[in-house]
Amino acid sequence: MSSSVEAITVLSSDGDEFKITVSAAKLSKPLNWMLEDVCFSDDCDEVPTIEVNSKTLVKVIEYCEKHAPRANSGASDSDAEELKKWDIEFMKMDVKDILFHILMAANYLHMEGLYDLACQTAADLMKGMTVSQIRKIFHIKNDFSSEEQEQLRRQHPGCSFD
Amino acid sequence: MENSEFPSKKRTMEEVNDSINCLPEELLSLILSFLPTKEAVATSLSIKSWRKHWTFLTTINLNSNDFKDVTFFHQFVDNLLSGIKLENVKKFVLLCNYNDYEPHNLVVRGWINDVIDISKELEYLELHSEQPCVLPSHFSANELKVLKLSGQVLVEPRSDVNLPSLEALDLKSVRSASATRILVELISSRTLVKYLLLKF
Repeated sequence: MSSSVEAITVLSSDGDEFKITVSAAKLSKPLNWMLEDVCFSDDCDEVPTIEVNSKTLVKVIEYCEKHAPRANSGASDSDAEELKKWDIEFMKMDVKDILFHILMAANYLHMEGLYDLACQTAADLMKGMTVSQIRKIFHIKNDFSSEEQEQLRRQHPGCSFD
Repeated sequence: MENSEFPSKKRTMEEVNDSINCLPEELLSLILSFLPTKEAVATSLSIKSWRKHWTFLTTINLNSNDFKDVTFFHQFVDNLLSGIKLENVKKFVLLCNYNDYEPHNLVVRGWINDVIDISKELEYLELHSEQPCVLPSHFSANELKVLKLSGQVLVEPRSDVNLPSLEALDLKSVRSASATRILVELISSRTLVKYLLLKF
């Protein structure tokens, strides 16, 4: 790999261009493969596309850039503490966005750390929610008839519906 | 800025909102396994196409503190264990933080019995009980790697403990007589535990 390359350009699924540094791209296997492809082919002008929308890709790249130094070199406990705080701030977004966009992107880009973080955050946010509150956050239309709903309540005692 | 990035944003977002129920099965299962079981079941019951999904949970995580009262907790667990495919369960966590519930010992013993009897792939079992609860006297789980017991979990004399794959044993504030019985059984069956935590 050529050492002169410090950042690569990628396209989001919406067609917007984004730059990601080499060290940050290493957090994702597919990105790392793209990186090697780009670096090895001298006359390649093609910009690789990542099947993640712009809004989500901005967040994913932000996560990679922040986590890259620790992932690549290892760091002290105080850094780990700071990074944990940063993760909490970073995850301050709608639970639906976390599950549907961040989690899907982390899955697609094979990013275990982000994946676990997204799952845990979503789980924490959903703790204590009733069935109707869960429908609300996911914008799910209740597709049970009132009879079915009653039956469901009888079948699931101890479950909070409202 | 958002509008220029997403020319047809409104419509696309509506489609995304509606398609949350189109999450890939494996991803949905994973999300459900991260949630406490109460919320996992509630999520599964929020939409028709997911309503049987809770029966495939592989991780069970129950804490009586998350329920309105003990009766609700017991109804929920009874219903869960009778509906779920227990043979798929790998992790079972049961925290009973209440006192003075008369049928507790018998019922919880029955639950644990069902779990270790049917869940052949059970790898992780955690049980906390504030009031006395006796483990099944035939306590055998071939794949169990982690066992955590705390509070008033009791082991009867002459219990038959068979945990050949056990790697970690965590006995916090369990009565010393019960802890000793488990340890004696493990030593006599030559089980090699890598991690042991005892706190009386």
